[in-house]
Amino acid sequence: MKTLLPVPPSVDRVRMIRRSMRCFVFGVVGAVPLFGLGTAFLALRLQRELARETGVPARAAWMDGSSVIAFALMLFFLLLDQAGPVLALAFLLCAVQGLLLFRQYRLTEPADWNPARHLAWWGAGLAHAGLNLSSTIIILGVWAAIRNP
Amino acid sequence: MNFLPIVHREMLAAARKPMTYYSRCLTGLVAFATGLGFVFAGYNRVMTASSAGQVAFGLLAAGAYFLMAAQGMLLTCDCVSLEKREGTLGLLFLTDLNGFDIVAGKLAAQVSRSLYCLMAAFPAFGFCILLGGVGLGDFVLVALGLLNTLFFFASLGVLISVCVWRERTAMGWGGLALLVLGVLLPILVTIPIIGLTHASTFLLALIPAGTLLALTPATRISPALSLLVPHALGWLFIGAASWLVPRSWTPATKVPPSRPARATRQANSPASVPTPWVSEPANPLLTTALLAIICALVLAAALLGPAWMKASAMPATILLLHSVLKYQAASQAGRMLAGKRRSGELEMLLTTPYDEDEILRGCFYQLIRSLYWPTLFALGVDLTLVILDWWKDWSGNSWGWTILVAVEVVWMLVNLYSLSWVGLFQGIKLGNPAKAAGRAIFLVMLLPWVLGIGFAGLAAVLAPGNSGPEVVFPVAAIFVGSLAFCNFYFTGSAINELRDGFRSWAARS
Repeated sequence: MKTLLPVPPSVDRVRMIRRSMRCFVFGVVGAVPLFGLGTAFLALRLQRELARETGVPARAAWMDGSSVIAFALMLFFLLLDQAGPVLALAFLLCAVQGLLLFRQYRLTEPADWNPARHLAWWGAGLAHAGLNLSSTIIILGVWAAIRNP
Repeated sequence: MNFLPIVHREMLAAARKPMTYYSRCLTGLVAFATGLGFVFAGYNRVMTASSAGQVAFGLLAAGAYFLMAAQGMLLTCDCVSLEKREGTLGLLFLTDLNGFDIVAGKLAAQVSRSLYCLMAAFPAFGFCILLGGVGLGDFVLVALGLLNTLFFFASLGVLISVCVWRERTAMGWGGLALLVLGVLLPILVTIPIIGLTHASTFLLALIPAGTLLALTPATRISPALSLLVPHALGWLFIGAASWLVPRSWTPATKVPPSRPARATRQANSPASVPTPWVSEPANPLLTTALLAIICALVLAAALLGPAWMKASAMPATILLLHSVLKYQAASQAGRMLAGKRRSGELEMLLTTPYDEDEILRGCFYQLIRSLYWPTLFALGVDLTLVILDWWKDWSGNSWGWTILVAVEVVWMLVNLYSLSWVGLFQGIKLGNPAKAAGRAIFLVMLLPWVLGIGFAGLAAVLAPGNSGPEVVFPVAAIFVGSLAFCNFYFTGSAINELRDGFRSWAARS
């Protein structure tokens, strides 16, 4: 069921649309593992600022919680010398976070209309995927360095 | 001691800036990490302890030399000219201050931060003495040489600043002096050309790098001479600046009239882009001429120098040309909005029908116009060098070199784009062209190397003595990641700030 949120103070709509488009561009670049780390952070920051401006609650707990659980499980598998499940977990995390974002996008409606809203959400999803993959690559790299001294 | 009030005032202003503290901590941290990495390498038998000490000492000394030279020059080359442009220099002469007081005050205030950084880095040199291969005398000589380097380049920077009015001219002359006296001359005078040994020794005695090169067995210069002569030259620069400063602040000689060709070029720019308002275009011919001079110098070094210079001539040419282009991009982007913000012209521009997007477009149009021909020249030289390499060896061994050049060219273009955005943002944020250019270069070009070296040191600690692919690959991946992170993050951040907060940044006094 969609929840209509209280009306936020007036927003510069042109600026909001431009920021949504920029968030998508940053998200696309951020989806590239390692290379896109910087822009992925920027895309997430933009998306959260946009959500705050338009009155959409952030609800970051599910996203952050799923990341923490997944990375804890990854560390557990690495302690057991299992690299395969780590990769599987990374892809699973991307899928779960994509679903969570999609659910959030469908269930919340901003009080201030933003025609480029979907672009901001796509940007956030791609940025999350890029961050997860980059983190996994770095974790696996460090693990490989420690494992073969 | 009449200059102390100026120093006191500038020190108070510097003490309120977070960068004064951050830069000191960062320099100490980098020097400490480098020294510690070599201590681990020495004790884990990756290399012998004495050679680890010598290599670490050389690396730290070279890094500190370039840092001191660059900071000494870039922080001072616009310090007096800025006061002249803002019209505040004349006010100082209404008090009982004389030329020397002003020059000494400015110099002391500008070099204080660099001095703090150097002091923070000195303890790391102690690791090298612990490892061996380096004596206490070497340490003292290098410490004095580095202090002398800072003094020499800062004095020269103040002299340049006294002689010029425009920030672009100051930055241009400062950059040229830094390149010639700080980089090219120390490289060139070490070429053992027969018959020019005495000339080389004479030139070495004139530049502060001579003190550091005096430690190498190849050079035959007295350390005391290499310390005293540049120090005396530094005082000479200060004397000249003190004499010139009361004679150069009058507005009669303020700005040379713009040339007709420049006005024509401005009139030809698209009507929707406010280029004449944003800034005057830099002359691309000067940059191209500088690139041509560098090519000629490297070619001369390759023809006359030893075998290692012949072997490294091609990469050196490409790296030098690209570095000059990047410096130009940062410097021009940094000064594009800085002066206008300080004088309030940017605020006035925003009251016209032009909006921030058009102003930014205008800035980029100017940047592209001033860097278009130099970039084409550098790309032409790159292509020529690749073709020459293929012409020398058709057997297919040149593929690796070609791919490396292609990667470097792509990376240079990415860097130019990043430096333009970051330089524009830092210019409007700091309101000082020299600081904006320095900050942009640090964030986009130097910080990734700091991060990369830090991660490499961490890998050496975690997996001592291992240089297999399982260590090299993650370190390389993290290094590439940090290169990309710094470029894309700071570029994106600058785009965000400029597009969203242009009016608020422009309105800051």
